[in-house]
Amino acid sequence: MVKRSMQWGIAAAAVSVALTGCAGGASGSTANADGVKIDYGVKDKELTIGVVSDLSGPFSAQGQSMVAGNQIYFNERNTGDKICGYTVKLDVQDHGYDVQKAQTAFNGMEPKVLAVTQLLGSPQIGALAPAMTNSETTTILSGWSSAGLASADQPNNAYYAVVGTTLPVAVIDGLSYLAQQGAIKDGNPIGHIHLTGDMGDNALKGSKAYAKKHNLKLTDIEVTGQEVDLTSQLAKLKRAGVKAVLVTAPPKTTGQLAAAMQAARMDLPILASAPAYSPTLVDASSPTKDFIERHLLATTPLVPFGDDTETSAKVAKEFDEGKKSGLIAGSAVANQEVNYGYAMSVVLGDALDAACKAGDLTRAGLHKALGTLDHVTTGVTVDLDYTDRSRTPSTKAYIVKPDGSAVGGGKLVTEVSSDEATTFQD
Amino acid sequence: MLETLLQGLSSSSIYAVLALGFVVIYKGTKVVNLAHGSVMLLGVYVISLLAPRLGFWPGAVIGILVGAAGAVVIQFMTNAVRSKDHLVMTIMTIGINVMIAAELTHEIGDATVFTGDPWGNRSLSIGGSSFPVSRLMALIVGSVLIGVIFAIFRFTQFGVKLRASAVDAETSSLLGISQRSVSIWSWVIGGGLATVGGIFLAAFPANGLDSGSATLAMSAIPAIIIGGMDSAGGAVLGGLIVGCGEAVARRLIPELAPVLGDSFASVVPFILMLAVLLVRPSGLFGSKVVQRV
Repeated sequence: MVKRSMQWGIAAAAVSVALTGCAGGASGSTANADGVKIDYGVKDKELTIGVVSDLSGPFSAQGQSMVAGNQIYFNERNTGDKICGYTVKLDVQDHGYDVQKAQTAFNGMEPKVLAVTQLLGSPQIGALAPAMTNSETTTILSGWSSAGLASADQPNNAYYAVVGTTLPVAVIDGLSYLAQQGAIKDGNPIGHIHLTGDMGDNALKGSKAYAKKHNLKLTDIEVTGQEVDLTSQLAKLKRAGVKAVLVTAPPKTTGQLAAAMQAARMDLPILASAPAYSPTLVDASSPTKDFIERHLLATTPLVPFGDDTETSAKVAKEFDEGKKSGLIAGSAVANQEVNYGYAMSVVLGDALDAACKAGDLTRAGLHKALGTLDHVTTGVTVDLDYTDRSRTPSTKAYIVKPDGSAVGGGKLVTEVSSDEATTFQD
Repeated sequence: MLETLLQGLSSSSIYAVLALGFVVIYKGTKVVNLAHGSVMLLGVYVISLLAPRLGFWPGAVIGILVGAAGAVVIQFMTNAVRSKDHLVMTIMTIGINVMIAAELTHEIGDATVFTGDPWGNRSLSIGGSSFPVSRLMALIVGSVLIGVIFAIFRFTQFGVKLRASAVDAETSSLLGISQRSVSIWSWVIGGGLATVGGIFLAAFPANGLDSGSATLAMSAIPAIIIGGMDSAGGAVLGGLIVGCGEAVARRLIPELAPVLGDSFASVVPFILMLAVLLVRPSGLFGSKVVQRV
């Protein structure tokens, strides 16, 4: 009888241990020589951080530049003020914009990494959210959709961090800048050309909210990004008599919009969301270069690459050096995504520093530490606040003017903030 | 109305040139080249690299030759399979398309490819409407090319061989027509036409091509299905129907968008294609397939 009870007891204990092990990643922590609690990704004097990006698919150019930004930051830390005394090693995995490959890549690296400093791609972000939550892996997102924020509706986003101003808030800031400049007035008609799906719909929330508050007549047009030209779509805006046109779509669509406006002789301001602007739009051989330089403004959380601001200039210099030394892949392109990747890693680096200071460099400790950061200064983005993960990390945006002669294809005009952006609920 | 008509005609000429490329290859080899878009992008990419140094016209000639050579390489690859089943060869072109597209994505990155064409952003004022010069050139070049291709079919020895092979490859082979030669020249013409179509797809007001633009060539598929897979005249008519249908649909966007959505114009070619297929499964001018059972 006693023997049978013991058997049941051992079995129950085994099941309990197994269930605890499955439930989260914070179990099994130990302390290092300095008394800092550690669990995943730490081995000897090395700390491993993951990158799950697109290095071979349709967004490979952006992915490679962001990885370069990640590498620049952690190289700075490894050769200077080390994170908790550890040398950071990046485990870079390519998903080729394939959700299955992204899941396989993350599952493979998950036991070996403490956090992920870049996860690129909306479908991949959506698909990996439960895995990140289950494993308590703090993950820095590439993307500014408020769908990446944590909320009661999106509990699986608890371990995600957006780096920058969310799309609708940046749109609101951009519109308020146009109003300050007298380009639009209350009651005016405006247009918003946006991509179907999450990115476009998300930005549209911002233009709708601003339009409602200022009685603007908003005409929105969905595009797929596969249009041959936008002449007909523009005809709809022309009939509506719009005073300004917003665009939240791939840069190619922004170029088509500018071309159609130029052909129709519509000399109106174009306000581009961050993903809609790329320095390639002011390429010397583009027939719309001059029109874009005269009419377009981008509303973005990012400082242009190679701008004369201190950190952006430093990142550009280290990018060139990294390419020469082989640290950065030869195929990485010098553009704003390098700054973006750098900013992603600064946020994670600050959270790692805070976790180390609190004596808890476990996944749970890192998650907690990120939530204490109320003022992250990356130097290449607006300042960021992570104390409330259900809200945009910033309500400010930069206004960038395209300039083909600038290193990064744009010049920083000003930083904007508005009451409408502060009170907007994502 | 005049603006819509001109837009329709200029789009039609681009579709017709792309569709003719598909049809010439199909007539010569019975293979539907699903790598047509990648060949187009390859040719345009080469032009974008050469035009700043050599000027547009030499760059365009070399780009068209590279497009033609790329198509011939695909022909060799599809011909290398043991099975001479045309369906297998067609499926092979899907794989080849993925390979070329991946390499072009790697090369082009996030850049936009411009050809530096001489028409730039100039527009003409026609009937009070602004019409891009590049679109007018698309109309002229497209019409001339179509005329030249028809003349080749009608008056040259190659044209006779191609038509004979399209009707009965086995018999024409027995009569001394080299199927290999017909096949290679079909792909040369098809590849060249794809690049010409690409030049105008990249021109103002389209504002260049990006690495994902290879799919734009697939917009010619409804044109060849409507006209008939093996009919050059059908390809032109199909292009005209698709281009004008799309232009009219776009003209109606403001009225119909609240009900059908803003992107319905892009669906119109496929609706027309389905309508034609229901009435004439071989297309308007396609040969009817007769099978003895």
